[in-house]
Amino acid sequence: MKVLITGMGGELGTRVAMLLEGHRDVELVAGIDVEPPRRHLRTAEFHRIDPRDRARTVAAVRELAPDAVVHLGIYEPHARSSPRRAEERTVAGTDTVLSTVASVGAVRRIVVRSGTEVYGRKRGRPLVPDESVLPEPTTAFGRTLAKVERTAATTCGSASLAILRMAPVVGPHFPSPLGRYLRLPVVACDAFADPPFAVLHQEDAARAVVHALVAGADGTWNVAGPGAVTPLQAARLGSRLPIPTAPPAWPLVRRAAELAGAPLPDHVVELLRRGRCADTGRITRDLGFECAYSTPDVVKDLYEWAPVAHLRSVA
Amino acid sequence: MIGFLRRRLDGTNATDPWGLDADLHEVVAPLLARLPFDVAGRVPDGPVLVLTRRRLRVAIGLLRGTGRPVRVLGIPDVEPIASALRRIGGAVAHPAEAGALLRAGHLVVGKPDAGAIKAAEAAHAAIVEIDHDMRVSERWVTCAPDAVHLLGTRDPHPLRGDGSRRR
Repeated sequence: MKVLITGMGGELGTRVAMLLEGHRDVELVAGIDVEPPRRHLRTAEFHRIDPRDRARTVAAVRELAPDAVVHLGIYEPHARSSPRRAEERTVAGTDTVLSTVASVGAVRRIVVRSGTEVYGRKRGRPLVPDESVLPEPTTAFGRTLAKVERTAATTCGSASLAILRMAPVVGPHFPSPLGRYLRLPVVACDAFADPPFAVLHQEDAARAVVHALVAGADGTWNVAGPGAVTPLQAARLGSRLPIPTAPPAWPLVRRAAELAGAPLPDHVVELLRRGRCADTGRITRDLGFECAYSTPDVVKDLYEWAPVAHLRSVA
Repeated sequence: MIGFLRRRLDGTNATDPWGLDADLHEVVAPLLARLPFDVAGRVPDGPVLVLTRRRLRVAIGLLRGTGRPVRVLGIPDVEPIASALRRIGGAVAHPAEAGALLRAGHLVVGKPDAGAIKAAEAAHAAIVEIDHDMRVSERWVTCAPDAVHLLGTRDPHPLRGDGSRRR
């Protein structure tokens, strides 16, 4: 199997490439991204291409002629790019790669990274949605993810399409706005609400992607660490000082966080003020996948500068 | 109490994805169970959807009778009320929320609602109806007879789940 990974330069893309490199079913791993991979890869090919550069992206995809595509080129606002650039890269990259893949016609499996932000947190919507809940995003990132899912569904053709709606991936080495914010010495929490949220460990995220790819899974699944924490709890777990903040003061909090180097996009503010979990029973029932790290473990891990762990191949 | 405060301070208190605070529930449940609401009849163990129009009274009756955390559907999704009620077992009235709770094996109380019943059937949960007289209606108990849990009988010394009398 020849696998093309978009977004290979990100932490998740690099980890997925490391897992796939020595897999017995994988003959070649190649990736594209705007930034180079974050770890040394033994055999994987990397092409440094901006996803907005349609001509070069199309040429790279056609040259490789992959059997499987892992689309991780989803750029979270303020993770590695500004919100505008993140949206442009995500939308343009998804459109270009998936439409080219459809025109090549040899792809049998597609795995797309999405997020639990697609469900939205309008009043009366479930706090723990399952995959049957229709996406009704309430943030810019959620709308981008919904667009990615729609594009993937319309272009996949006869290939199997696995959409993984992941909880926010955080970790000590993972660039994420939520992780950066929670690691500030002072963490503003809503004075009137302390709702639960779930997060996902980077290794569980990488394992879920590889699991779905190898299984040739077709469908939509939520992926999140079991359990939940509240913003207040998360701050306390990291021995941070929680500051109760009234709702009108949140624009000020966002400004202060930006000055402190941890800008808060609207989907992270929504998570902190309205909570966001997901029912993950279906991925266990259908694919037999279970996360190794619970949400409280992931949050504790976030506050520790653990040494870099090199993943072993799953072959 | 010291353990309760220590867990609050270091953030290790357990919160489930629906917001139930296990420590707080342990404190509040005995206080609520002092209220004189009893449910008569048999309620199954495992995931159960209880349909009733008197959710609060029934929830307290079930808490007294079973000792299990009771999840009540239909909280207003407005802060700070939602956060406070979630901590002691509240959840919004949405079929997906009911389905997720039942798949996780919870005892859920909600108004009679087609969406919730459908979710309970999909989750293979037992469905129980409790009438205005706080009695379990036999017609809705949809599980094996050996999976039922004996509740109080509204006499001065009602039966506990293990068959002993509460005095």
